[in-house]
Amino acid sequence: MNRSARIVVLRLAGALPTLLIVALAAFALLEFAPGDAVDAYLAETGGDAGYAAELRRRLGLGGTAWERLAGFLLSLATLDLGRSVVFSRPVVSVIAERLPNTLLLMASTTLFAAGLGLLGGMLAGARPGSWRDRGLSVTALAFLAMPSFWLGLVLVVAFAVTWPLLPVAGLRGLTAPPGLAAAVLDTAWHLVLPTIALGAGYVALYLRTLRAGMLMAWQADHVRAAQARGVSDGAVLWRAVTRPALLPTVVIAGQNIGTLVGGSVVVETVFAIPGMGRLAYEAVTGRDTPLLLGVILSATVLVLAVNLLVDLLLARLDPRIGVADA
Amino acid sequence: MRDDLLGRAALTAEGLIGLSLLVVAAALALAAPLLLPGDPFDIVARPLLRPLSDPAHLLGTDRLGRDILAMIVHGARPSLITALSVAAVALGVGMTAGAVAGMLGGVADEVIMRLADAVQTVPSFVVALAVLSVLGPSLPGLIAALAVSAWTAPARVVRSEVLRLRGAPFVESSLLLGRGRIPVALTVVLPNAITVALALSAVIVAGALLSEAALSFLGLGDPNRPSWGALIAEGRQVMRTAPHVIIAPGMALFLTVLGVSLVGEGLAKALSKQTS
Amino acid sequence: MTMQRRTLLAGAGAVGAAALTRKARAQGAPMPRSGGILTVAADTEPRNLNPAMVASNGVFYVASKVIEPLAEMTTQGDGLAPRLATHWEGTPDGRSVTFTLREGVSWHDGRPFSSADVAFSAMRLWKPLQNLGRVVFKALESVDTPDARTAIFRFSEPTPFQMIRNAVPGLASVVPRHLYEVGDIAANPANTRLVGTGPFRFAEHRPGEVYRLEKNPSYWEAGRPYLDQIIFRVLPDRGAIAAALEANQIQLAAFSAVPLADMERLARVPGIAVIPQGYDGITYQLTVEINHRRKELADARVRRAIAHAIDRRFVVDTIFLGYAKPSTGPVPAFDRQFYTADVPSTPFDRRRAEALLDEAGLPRGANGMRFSLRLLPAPWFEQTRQFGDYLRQALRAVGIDAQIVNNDAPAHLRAVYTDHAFDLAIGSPVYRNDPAISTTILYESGLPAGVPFANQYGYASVDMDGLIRRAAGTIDTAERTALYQSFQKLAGTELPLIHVAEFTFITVARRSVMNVANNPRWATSHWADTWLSS
Repeated sequence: MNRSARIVVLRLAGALPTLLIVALAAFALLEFAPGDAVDAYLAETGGDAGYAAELRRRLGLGGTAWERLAGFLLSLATLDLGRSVVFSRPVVSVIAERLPNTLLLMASTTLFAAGLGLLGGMLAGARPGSWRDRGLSVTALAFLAMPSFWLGLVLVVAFAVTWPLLPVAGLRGLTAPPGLAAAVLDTAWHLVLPTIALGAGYVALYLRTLRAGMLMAWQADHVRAAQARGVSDGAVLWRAVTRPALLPTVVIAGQNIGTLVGGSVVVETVFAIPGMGRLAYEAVTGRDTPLLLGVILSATVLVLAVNLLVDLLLARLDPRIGVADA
Repeated sequence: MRDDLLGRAALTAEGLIGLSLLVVAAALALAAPLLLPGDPFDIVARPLLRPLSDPAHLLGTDRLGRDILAMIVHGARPSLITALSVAAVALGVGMTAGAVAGMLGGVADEVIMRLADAVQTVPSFVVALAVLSVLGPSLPGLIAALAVSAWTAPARVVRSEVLRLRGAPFVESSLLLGRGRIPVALTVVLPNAITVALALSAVIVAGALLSEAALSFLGLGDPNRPSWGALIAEGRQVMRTAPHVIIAPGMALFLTVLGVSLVGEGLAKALSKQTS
Repeated sequence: MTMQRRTLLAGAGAVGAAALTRKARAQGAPMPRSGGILTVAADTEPRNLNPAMVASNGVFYVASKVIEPLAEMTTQGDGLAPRLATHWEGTPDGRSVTFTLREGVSWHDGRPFSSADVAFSAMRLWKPLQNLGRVVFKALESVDTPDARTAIFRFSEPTPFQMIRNAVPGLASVVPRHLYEVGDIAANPANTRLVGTGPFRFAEHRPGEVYRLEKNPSYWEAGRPYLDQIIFRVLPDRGAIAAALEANQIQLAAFSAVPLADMERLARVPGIAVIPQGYDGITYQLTVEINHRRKELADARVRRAIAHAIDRRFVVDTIFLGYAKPSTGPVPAFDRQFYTADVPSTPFDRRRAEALLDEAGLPRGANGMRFSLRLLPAPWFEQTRQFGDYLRQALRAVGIDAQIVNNDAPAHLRAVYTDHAFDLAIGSPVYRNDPAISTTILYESGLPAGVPFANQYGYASVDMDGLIRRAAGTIDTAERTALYQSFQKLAGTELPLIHVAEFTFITVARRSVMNVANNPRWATSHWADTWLSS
């Protein structure tokens, strides 16, 4: 456990500069952006010069960029994410509202992709070079080549319009079903299409990673030795080949959490899921600096947290992994 | 040596299919002005013609009455150019950074790798989205936005190759001759790490094709060139009544990315045979 | 049926809607029935929901059921129907307007409504704080309240009664003084938890999900409203809205929330009606905005050539799928007070366009192009973007090489209205029922950079400025109307910007929703008489 604690401390220490860089970059981005939050608002309402000036004053957009930066860093240091301009509410409350939806989508996607991918990987890796293996590998590549937003649209056309089996969009039905179980089922039902659209590429990733690991394992001396000793095929396949090859897939899961957040932007757009991805987009088009920062920071923290979990998990699974790598 | 590698990659069935898909895509991209001359955005027929209903417009027309086939064919070139440029920039920057980090070690290594960590931690697509919507869509902007997140993989791979090769006799002797560490990294070590990075290029190109299409889909592409992603976005409005507008460009994108991935797969296989 | 309705509307404008209502009555329309919950789609959640501060359709859509204006637009009579005011009268010198207020009205918190509320709203909100009121009520000096039922608006300069009348439905929403008189008005919690006099009380807002309004049992109009509740479901996705309507999960979607391309299909679904009426009072105009700082575009012949290159019929039929009308100038045809068809026209004629460009000394070059320019389509509507794609091709056909530049909303606003970094832009200004409110500002010169939806085009004409100034100072209605007709003619002659089409929105509703679209601002009005048949 001491080792785990050290991993945590090292990771967090390494994360701080990252967080600072990210925060400064996001601030600079919206500072240099053409148009500010008031322009974004005036696009809806119009108004004369005095109106615009008054709005700028209210939103604290007056002053120099340095003054705004100082104010921003100060509030950041006190862990205050400030108020969203677009929603005129605390950033924390907006994120608290959207984050669960994104987490839900990411969790279901990871479950789906890992489940299907590892199963396929095992089938392919059990007999490398066989037709089954080649077929599965090519299928995996096809999944990887499929643009998620397009797959999402095609799924909608097929399963929500042509054969209206599944909901078109959103995460919840309009009429709230009574009871917790019904609500969970309702949400699960809504998650089917977005999960497939976002997860297809990751199915391929898990499949290929597991298969590659198993391929290496088959060539390892101890596996050959076990086979020569006459250990049953099933036992070799599971204990000596598949199990060690599962380890890298955990690493893959951690590494791809960032791209998963990115991919969810597009899928959230296609399926109108009010999540973090769409929130980032709304923050940018509203020139809502506090909100964009809040979104990027929380996404970064999410990625760091998942990576930390992966590290801890790996440390548990494989004692050889040292603190030095972390 | 590289031709040899490509040749062996093409020998597998997958590689062969991939290569032919790529050849078709590249041929269309190059020959677009000859095959379908004129402005692909011209309004040439009734809006939303179905595919195959008019031999002059094989894949039908979009909402304004523009020929979908023409837009797809003319859209190949910008997509491929963008993806290849991203790969070139990412490999160039990534391999250099990796070689320098691996060779110098110490503070330089720490700084470069921390930067790579930071870039990988931040959801890169979100960053590309933010940068492009703020700076306005442009080709250099697009390439930069995608390359920013793509350089880390080649950097890591090359760095570990360099760490492996650093102790090799030919590197040691170069250093003993009194040459600086960075020149040695770039001229002696890097060429030996190039094959490893090359196998990565297919992954980068495929990823860039998909990301470019996704950004165009979100309205962040160049509106003055036909683009598959933008065509899909445009078709989204009518997908209930005219799904062909999204299906055709999506297939074009899918087959191109599949081609790249299959070739990359073949390449990786040939590479692993070469090393073993 | 839909086609018929549409043609009727195109032919007769707002009169068509009135005729339809009469027809429905003649056919023995059923008796209204009380009760029921109406669920409608909403696509935005305005950060400030107070219509006395923010006059915009997004705000009105929800707020107009809670907070009432002094009067509402109607297709009948002189075009104005009583709400909080029952009578209005201007003095001939344009110095004052007297509103007689309704008896027996109370705020949702039980306090009585009086002329003090009107005076407070006018002097403390409309005039100093409201996006549009700042212009219209510029000369408002004071509001006298001789008794609780009378509010006399006094102006420091002659202000046309006609303009005030036309502005009242959109700009004169009354909020309770007792809740606003203490503290910062802009930060008042009542800006998001509305308190008004309207037929519905504000019950709750769950961000990202719903606004819920409840029947006001002590509403001043006996027996109204009919509905028990109105629920605005926040549904930003248009595809989801269509599906929800088909499943009867929502009963109504206003403001063309359903994509135009889906209308034809939805109109055939049993139980669903596609209703293009009820928005005449908020007509949008598709315009080509022109930067006169470009020397080619400063030449009226070139602007005329661009206008001749546009096939307005194609725009209406293909981009708006028939749900629009070709435009002749800055006043839309439905406006019976000001509109004149007697203006110079620019029919679709490429040969004429090419001849004009040759005449202007801009021959086709080696690449077949005469000159190139930047075209910035506004991101406001799908149609403004689509028209950009069309206009580029239309301009190429006459030898003008237009390169599209896409921006998001704030960047577009900054580029066109502050930095003037454009050659052509595509806009969609709203016509607000009087040219003085938000139309002449597109033509008058001398505005500071940064004022959006105004003449940032570098266009300055002594004739035009003089005409606008004279019209603004004219009190007599007939004379004023004549001046604005001259304004339309001059706009057509000088063509500083090109009006292409006028369009309104479309409501899609279940047939069970009754009394839909029965006034020209229906979606942004009270809905006190809306009811659900079983």
